[in-house]
Amino acid sequence: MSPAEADFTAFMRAYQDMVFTTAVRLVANDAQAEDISQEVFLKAFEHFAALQGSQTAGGWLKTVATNLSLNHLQRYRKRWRFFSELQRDDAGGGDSESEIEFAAPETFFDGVDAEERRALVERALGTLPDRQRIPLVLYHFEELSYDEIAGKLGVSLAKVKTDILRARAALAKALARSGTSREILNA
Amino acid sequence: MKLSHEELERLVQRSVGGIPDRRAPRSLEGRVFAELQRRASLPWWRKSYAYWPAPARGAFFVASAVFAAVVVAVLFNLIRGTGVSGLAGAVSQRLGWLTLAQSLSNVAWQTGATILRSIPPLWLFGSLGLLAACYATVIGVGATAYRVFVQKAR
Repeated sequence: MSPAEADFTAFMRAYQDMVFTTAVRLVANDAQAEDISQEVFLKAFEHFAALQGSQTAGGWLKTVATNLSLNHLQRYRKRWRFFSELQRDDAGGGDSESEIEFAAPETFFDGVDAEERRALVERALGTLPDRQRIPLVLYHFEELSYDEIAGKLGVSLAKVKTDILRARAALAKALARSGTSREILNA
Repeated sequence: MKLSHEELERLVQRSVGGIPDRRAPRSLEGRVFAELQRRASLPWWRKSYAYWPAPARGAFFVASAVFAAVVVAVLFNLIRGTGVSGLAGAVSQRLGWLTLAQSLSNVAWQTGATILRSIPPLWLFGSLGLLAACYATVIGVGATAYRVFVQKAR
């Protein structure tokens, strides 16, 4: 292995979990997330001279992973719109106006270790439809603002807010149903 | 107890905050290096322009400039009034095969038109309608099957 390859291997090992996690949360599919991660690192290799040792390499990789995931989802959605767009609206809990009935826990995961938390959250995210999961992930995991999300997704600010509101309610229900927080679910 | 939207936002943020990253598949590293190796082994003309050798890039630039100059010269002559027929004559002298291609395409076009005219309109529109109905049926069956079997399974 050449020194350049060794450097890039070390670079990949430092960031591959973050890149894969970013992609898999957005696309909710392991195989597609791996394809996207591969694409991200191929782009990173082209810019490796600038990225190597840069403080902003992590941010650059996260942005590229997010953008490639959104591009992938948009392509997929266009291709399958006819087949999938008319799915039932109750899939993610469409009740945006009513308040949610729960006890008031600190989190949904009292006494659950981090790895199990991750698995539960990912499973719950996987139950949400794309139109709710994507803005929710961008807001709560990628820490984008409502405006930035609206810009990235090409939808109105009001739609982003509504989708995130519904997504939170659906995620909370899914997490509450997951069993670990059965004791905190009121209704 | 009911949670307001703000309380729900804070609860979700607390619940998802600080979750560790997922471990990337072991195959990822190998896939990336295999793809890099495949790309490196491609000949230069199959890579993007940025990876072409300098002489090839220079030659391509010169060829593009010559092509652009020819296009501009032709347009200039047309505008100046040399005339389309004069220009067509000059071009056809050098490109005789274009006349042959034009004759062949004319023959093909006329044959197609004759065949189309000989088909009764009822047959023609009936066939088109049947084709459209078959297409709509296949799409409809596919969409229904997808919604029933795939979406319900999710």
